[in-house]
Amino acid sequence: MAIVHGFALFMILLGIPFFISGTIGLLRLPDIYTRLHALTKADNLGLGLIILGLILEAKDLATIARLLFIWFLVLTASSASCHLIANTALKNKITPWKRP
Amino acid sequence: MTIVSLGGSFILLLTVIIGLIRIHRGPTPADRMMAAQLFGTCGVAILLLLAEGLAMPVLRDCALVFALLAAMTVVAFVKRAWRNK
Amino acid sequence: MDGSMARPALHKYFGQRVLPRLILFELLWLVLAGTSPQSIMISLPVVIVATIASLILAPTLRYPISPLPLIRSLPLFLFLSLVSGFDVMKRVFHPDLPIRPGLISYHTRLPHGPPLALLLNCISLLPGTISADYRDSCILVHTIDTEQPAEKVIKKLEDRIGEIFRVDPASGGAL
Repeated sequence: MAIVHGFALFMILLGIPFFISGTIGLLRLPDIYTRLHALTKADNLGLGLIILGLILEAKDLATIARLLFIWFLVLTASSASCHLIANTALKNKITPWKRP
Repeated sequence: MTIVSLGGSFILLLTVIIGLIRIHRGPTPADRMMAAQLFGTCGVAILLLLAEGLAMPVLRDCALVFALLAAMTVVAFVKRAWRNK
Repeated sequence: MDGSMARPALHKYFGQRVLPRLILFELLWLVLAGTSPQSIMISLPVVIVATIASLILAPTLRYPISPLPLIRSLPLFLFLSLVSGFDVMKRVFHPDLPIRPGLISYHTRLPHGPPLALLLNCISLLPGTISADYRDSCILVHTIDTEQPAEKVIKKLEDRIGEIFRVDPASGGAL
């Protein structure tokens, strides 16, 4: 049991840096498109790891099912909205940043 | 576990606050919307960690509502608020 | 119309279309609302109405999902998500911000509908790519590093999605 518990803690602690890098990316990156990269990928992975950790700590099946459902919802919502924002940005003629 | 959960949710709250800078800077409405999306994902993670750390399972339902609303907000924003200038 | 002729068809309709949806929606309700007896009482009319609505909105599933390839592909999806998260972290924390963003186009033969939607969504979770537009079976992909071989990973993903929906990306039709 101690190993599972330790692994759960490790997963949660591993997830947090991804959220931090998502936020840093949102601030440092030069345009909408690159910021979308940081937001979609880093935050989803961070949430995935935290949810994995919490699943290992969960006491009943209902909690596990609910956590998995939340993960699934956020994953679909953020990848679909990533496409939607990039698509609308292109239609609004926002040109992607290029390294000069 | 409690310390990690509560500490983790505190750190996530700090990153959300730092993310507010992007809302201030903009420049396009979409950049501001993305900061709001960050709050959505971070908010779900914070609520789930608090549900574990404070032993309040009810917060998991709040996280569920956050997750359900996350999709709606972006679609509504792109279709209604972010029109061609 | 002879009643005895219609009965097997009705059975088939119920077994293939109605019952799976009823079970799916009831399971979803149990996940969302818990398993207390009162909650299950309320769930019955809601689940029936949801099933009727889904039968009206999506009478047939044109692309049945085959579960085995889906389960076989899950480790790949998770692994790619992990790689892309580390990729973002590496770039964002680097003092020089090593990015060379650009647009590339990728030709896909996946049919419209669920297979294409899944591919477009998954591209946004791959390392270094987000899908930005789709026109004339070409996907416009924004990549964070134009020197990274994005096409190879997308191709792999496309093949897997083809297996899941039992369509052949090379021919554009059903297998």
